[in-house]
Amino acid sequence: MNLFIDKLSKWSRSQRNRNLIYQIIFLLFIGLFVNYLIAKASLLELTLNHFNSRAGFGISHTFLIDYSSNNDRWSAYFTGVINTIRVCLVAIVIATLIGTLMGVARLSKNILFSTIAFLYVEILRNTPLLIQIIFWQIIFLKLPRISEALTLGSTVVISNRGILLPYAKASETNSSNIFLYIILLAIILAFCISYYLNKREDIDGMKFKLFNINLNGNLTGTLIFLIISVFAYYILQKPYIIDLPSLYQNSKGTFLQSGGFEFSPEFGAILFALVIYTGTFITEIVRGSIQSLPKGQTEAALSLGLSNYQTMTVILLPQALRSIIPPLTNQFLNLTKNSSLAVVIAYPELFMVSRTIMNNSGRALPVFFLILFTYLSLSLFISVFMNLINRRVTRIGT
Amino acid sequence: MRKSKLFLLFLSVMSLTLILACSSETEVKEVVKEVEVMIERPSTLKTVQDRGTLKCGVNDNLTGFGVLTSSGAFEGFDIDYCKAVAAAIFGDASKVEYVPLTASARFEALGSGEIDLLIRNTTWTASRDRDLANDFTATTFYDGQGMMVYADSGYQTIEDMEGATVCVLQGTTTELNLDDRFMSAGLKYTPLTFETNDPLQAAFEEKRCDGWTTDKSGLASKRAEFPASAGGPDSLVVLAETLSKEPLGPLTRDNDSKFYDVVQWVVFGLIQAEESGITSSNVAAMAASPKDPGMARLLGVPYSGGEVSDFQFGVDPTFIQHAIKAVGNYGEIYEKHLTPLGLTRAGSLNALWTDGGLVYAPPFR
Amino acid sequence: MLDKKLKWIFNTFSGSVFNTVISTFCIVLLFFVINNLLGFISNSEWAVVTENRRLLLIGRMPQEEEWRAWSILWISSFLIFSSLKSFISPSKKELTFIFLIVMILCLIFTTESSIFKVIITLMISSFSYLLTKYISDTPIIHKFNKFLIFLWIFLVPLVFCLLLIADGPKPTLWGGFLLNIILASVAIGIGFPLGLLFALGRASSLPAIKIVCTVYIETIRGAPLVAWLLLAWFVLPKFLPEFWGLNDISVVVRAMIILSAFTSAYTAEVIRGGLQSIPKGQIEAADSLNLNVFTKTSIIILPQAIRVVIPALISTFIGVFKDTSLVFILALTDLLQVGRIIPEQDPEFFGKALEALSVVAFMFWIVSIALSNLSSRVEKSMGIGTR
Repeated sequence: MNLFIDKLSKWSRSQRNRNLIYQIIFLLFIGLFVNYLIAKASLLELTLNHFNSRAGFGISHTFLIDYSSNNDRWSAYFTGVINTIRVCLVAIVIATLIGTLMGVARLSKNILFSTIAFLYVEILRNTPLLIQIIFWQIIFLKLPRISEALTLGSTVVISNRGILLPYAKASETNSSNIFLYIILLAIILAFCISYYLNKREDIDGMKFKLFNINLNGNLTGTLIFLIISVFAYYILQKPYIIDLPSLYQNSKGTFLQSGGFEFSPEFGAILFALVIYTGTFITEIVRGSIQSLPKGQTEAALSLGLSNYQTMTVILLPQALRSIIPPLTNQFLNLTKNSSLAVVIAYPELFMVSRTIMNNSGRALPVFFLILFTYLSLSLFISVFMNLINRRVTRIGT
Repeated sequence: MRKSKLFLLFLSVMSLTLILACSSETEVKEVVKEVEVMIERPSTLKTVQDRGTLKCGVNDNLTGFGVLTSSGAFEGFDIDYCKAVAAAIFGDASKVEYVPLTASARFEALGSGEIDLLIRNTTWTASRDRDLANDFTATTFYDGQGMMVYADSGYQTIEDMEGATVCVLQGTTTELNLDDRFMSAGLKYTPLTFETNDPLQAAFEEKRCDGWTTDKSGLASKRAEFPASAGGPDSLVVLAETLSKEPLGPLTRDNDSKFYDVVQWVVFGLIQAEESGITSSNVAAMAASPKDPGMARLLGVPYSGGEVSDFQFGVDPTFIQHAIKAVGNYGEIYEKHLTPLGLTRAGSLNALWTDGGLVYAPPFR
Repeated sequence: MLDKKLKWIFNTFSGSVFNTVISTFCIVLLFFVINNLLGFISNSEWAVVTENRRLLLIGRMPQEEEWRAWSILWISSFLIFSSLKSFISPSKKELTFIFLIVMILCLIFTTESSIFKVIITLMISSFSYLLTKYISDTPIIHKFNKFLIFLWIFLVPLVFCLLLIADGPKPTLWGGFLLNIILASVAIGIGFPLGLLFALGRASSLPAIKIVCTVYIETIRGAPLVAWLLLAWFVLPKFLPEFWGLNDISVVVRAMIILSAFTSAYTAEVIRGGLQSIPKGQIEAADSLNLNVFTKTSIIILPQAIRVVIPALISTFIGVFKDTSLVFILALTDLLQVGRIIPEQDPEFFGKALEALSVVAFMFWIVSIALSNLSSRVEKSMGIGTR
């Protein structure tokens, strides 16, 4: 026994061995905890079988998926997922623009401009997003009621039921899908060609020549895309026609509106709130990154005779981009997660639809795992995409 | 050397903890297994009695049924039933802890033990009875889903409402009934699904939706208090059509028969009280000298010096008496909360069975 | 003086066409916003707020339990105002700002019945400020500062004692602004130390600990807080052990658990950034001094790491405070939820939602702006961002 203790104490004198023991004990505890969780979870129903049954409830905003209440719960769920992606995509783009603008404004020598940016950040960053969402909803509900709706000719209808804009609509030729595929192909083709031409230009140091014409990569790509799509449009006998919104009275004299692209108050409220709230954070990121650049950069640029505007767009922003992107990614992830707050204003994004499903089925846990999984994959997608951009940006500098 | 001794000490303490943890772990597993085998869980009645308060899940924004007043108190038809059950169990109607719930959170709140009793204008349906871990007790109010529209819209039937936008609450049967009705009529519509009542109301007031659908009682209550600046009650019409049957009543958890019985018989007791003419003002006198043996059984008092007939509900035999004292009989509760909303009782399903309605209590025997 | 002002206007509007366009646009925007704001303020009626003061501040806590809220307010106003002088010593401008905000708050929330208590609060605040100012040059100040720090640390337990002693109201009755404050302080009080541990775990050289901590942090950060809160509502009770009635805990406690877990994951991420910023030489130096792991971490690594991330930490805490408004999903009546309910509760308040909402927003804003000023002070004193 004594010998054993001696040996053990000798063995444990090495840090590596001791670390091993710590880890094994730690893992054992975690294992016990997980085991406990699984034991508890096994008492609950964990399958998603009920997702195959009829949904039975309507969804106000459908996009891409043609959802009706006769479909199963999966399609209801994916309608929600698409609604989430839709609002997040638009919000991310606009928030980045506003954030950059305001971040630059914050450092502007124009006192008026920088004060506005300062007030914007200090006021809107420090109130909860939820309040802002509800605020925008109230504002959108204050648009004219449908009986007093504003119309611009017959192109735009504005009421608190939604703002309707002209939109393309598939005509009855049934070739709209083929047209979409052709457009997709044209985009890919244009990209490939312009990439190839640009590469050639980089390598050869001169523009690629065809029949003695200098070909610019970007221009050629755009041209090819335009030519293909216009040709396809006429060859397929106008697969899409313009869908004009309309405001009309039914037989009872009630006003209704339909057609066109609908920008609903719910979508507007969540979009505005997300853009403006996230914009404040992006402003601070942009400001911080530009400020952290050495002062010599600005001075050198100005002494070269560049204007303030040029200094900002050519010298400072591209350099700042490197330290902007990682925190920016974080803000995009936050924005995506924050979109779940649309549940309070009747915008049917994925969280709200899953709540309805949870309620109708009475099985909360598996649906919760599905929500978790969906948000994690959305986050992963954003991170991977931003990492790609980040890699490109950091490579340019070196 | 000191270090490695310390390490040995750490190791032994850890292994001891681990062993302890393991043993407690197996215990937990056994408990889990026991729960699986044992269908009869500890009765909620016992839990409630031990705790000293009744946790009642209610609505906090439906005038007449359950509403949170600015003084922080709850009042309404459903609230009175919470009080009645508390009075029946403790003899004191104030021992209720109200938990305001949204429509979409109520069943899980009951299933997870957050509340003991759910009285939140909840409709009795087959799927809810089967799928969810709860039981419906007796019906306290016979309701039906209705549709409220603005009077100037000219809508008279659901069939007129092609292309309309309808505001509806999330996680309710109304949401599903609405879809059924419009699907079967082949009408297009846009449902605007809200999480809570307040934003829904705000949206309707701004005419964001053409129609508002929920239980007719709820519509009546919302209509009665519709702000004058938004047009007042007269600017609204509740369509005559009833989209569905909506019997509302209290819910308890599944397989909880003792507590279930108490709640159910409090409901029946208050109905029986109205039938026998016992009110909150004369209950003391009636208990002192009951008119007939039936009334004596109901109030848990001896009839002309005889023995008390105790139904062994697990509460005081005079529980109905306490409940009546606290809130009055069915008619009184209805009169106090629902008549002001314009829900006339005479001739409706909610009249006593002797008056041609459906409100009926099985015999107290 | 006038010359200077003219120069300022000149600078703003001239220089380039671009500058002039921007300035003009800014003026139009400012005019639009201010005009709307003034229109809103002059047309609004505040009855919806003034009649529901109680609900907004303390929720459904019964009238006879109000003294708890008052004593909490008095203790914290003493603490806040003496620390204000002692640790921050604000400038005249800042003092005026604070005075203004306090006055606005009094204006909104004073009723006839509570005017006496409000005056007591004001007296305590000014008295504690003046007292600290008076003793700030005497040697007692060091002891006093220690006492203040001690009190700050024990403030949360003290508040809990005040809320729970002598048969206090049920946690489900806590509400309004009080609930937001309680939830945020508990979430930060528990979440910060936990986050510290998780950050160290994630930076650990032991792979098992590192992986577990990483999985925890990333899972929590993966889903939105509302989803986690919903989990607390639906599922958490089913996972808690049956003994000691643990599975019967109040929904407020569940919200605290989830908020703390959430805070810990986010602070861990922030602190990790601080840990990474420590020069390797520091750790090597500590190793060469033969310090053991605990001494090395607690004396060398953590103080440096946390110092760097204090501004980021405070903004995380602000985020947590703002996020307490999400407990509406658990049917808790926090400040924002009260603000949403009251305009619909009474027909005479029809269309007064913006008034209620703006007061709610103002309350959240005060706390957040105070914290964010604190953070920028720390940032300045550390010399970050002045390059």
